[in-house]
Amino acid sequence: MKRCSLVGLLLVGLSGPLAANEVGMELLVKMNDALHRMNYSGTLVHIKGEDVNTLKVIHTVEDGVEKEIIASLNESNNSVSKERQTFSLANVPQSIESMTKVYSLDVGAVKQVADRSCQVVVARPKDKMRYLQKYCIDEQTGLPLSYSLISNKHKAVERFTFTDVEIQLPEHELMLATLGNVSPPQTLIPEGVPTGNWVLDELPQGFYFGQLPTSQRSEVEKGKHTEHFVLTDGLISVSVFISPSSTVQPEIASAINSGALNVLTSQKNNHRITLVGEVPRATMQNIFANLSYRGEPQ
Amino acid sequence: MSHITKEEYLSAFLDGEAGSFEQQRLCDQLESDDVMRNKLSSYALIGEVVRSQSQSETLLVGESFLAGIQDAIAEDEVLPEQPVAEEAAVVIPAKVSRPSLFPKQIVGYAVAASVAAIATMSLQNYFKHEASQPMQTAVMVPADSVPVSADASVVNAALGIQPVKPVMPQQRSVEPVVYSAPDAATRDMLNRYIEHHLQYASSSTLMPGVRAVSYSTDYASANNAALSGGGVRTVNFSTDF
Repeated sequence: MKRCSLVGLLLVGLSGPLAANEVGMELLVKMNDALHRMNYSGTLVHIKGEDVNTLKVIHTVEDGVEKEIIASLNESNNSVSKERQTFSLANVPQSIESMTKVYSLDVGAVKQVADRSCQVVVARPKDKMRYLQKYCIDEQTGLPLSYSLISNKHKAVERFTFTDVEIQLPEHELMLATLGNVSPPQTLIPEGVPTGNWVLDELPQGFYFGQLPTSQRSEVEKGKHTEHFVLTDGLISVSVFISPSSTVQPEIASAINSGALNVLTSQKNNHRITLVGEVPRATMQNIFANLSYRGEPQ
Repeated sequence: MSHITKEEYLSAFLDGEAGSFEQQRLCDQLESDDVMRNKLSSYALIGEVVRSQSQSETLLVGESFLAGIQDAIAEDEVLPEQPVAEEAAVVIPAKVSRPSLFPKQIVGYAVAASVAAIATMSLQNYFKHEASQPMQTAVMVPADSVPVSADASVVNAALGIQPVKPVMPQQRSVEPVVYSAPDAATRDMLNRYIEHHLQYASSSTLMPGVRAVSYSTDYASANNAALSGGGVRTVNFSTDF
């Protein structure tokens, strides 16, 4: 009897974090859905180290197609704006489930961001292969109103915060709302894995091969023998580009970073290998070290 | 009458600084107070994370350990599942005898067992070489502790990929490499890859478009500075990781 009580109490003690994990997961799923279903516009501040960029963000969904316009408001001469059609992220909820193996989720306080109430959710990495991620998710719509990536040394490497935002449900969603939930369009294909002479001997813990949109296939074909595959842990991703050295000039190893985004390029077996992703450099070095050439010697 | 808050008692309890009398009182509180139990779990988790994150810098817990926990709590403001009326300055109430669901000794043993389990996990983390093993947190449960390799293998099998045998990250040694700042040609190549990644591969990354535009703006600034003789701006493009 005593033993049963003891076990029961231990389970009760653990129920808090477990419940937080489930609630956090639901909020992240809702957030991903909102990011791609909602019409929203506002001013977003993007902080990287000591640099601050202010951007105008307009996101609309028309006939199931997303349109996103992002313009930098920082310097008028250097402002950049882009309009692009984004692809569906219908697989995201699935990857969020798998990512709980490498992140612990905490649900925090309700805060005010951009004059709206939002719920803090923290995804804490269980190792040093990825950053801690902190979201404040709009209570009404699920849209992330602020987002931070924090290194294992407690330093915010990147931060996004809306200073003002207007959010609306798309018109077609309003009409369909009474009919129940509608799945977003599925445009992803199971590609993005090494198909050539290269293999990844060991995956970094928690990572798996991601998927690429169909629209990317033609881009790769234009890339003159450049192979591109993606690794993801459900929250962040790393692109690996491999091309024969003869098609590119640089011979030395280089690395750059911009906020949480790290880029590393080096050579192996007469190929140029470039990694781009929102992970610490050590993670990229690990991926690079585990890439092996299985083709004919060059 | 002291003005020590519940939170401070919990911290002291986890740090092994609470006396036996306070421990008994906390056990009584934990028996009936869901909020306290949640806080204990949260504090233990935060303490674990703080300890794990500080491993790379020191193997000894410094004097700021308790302050670090409190800072982390203040920053994340992990909420209890129910509102607390006497949150901030409430003193632990005097012991009130009431019918209890579980015998006090069992509650004490249960809490002690939880703390011991957490302490064991902490010690394991302590003596592991930095980054040679993944950090375990106090909230890990059997479902979460399933090796990630299992998940990866399932995904790979589903995708028809044969190779990969996921293992611990540092099992293959990463040779030290000196990375230089890229020259103009390399920079152009990298920019194409970055654009490609942000446009197509950041399927699981929040707001990749914002990063793309922000990066482009920085790049344009850097180029303009270089063209005007001002030198390339290094704030965002530094090679210092």
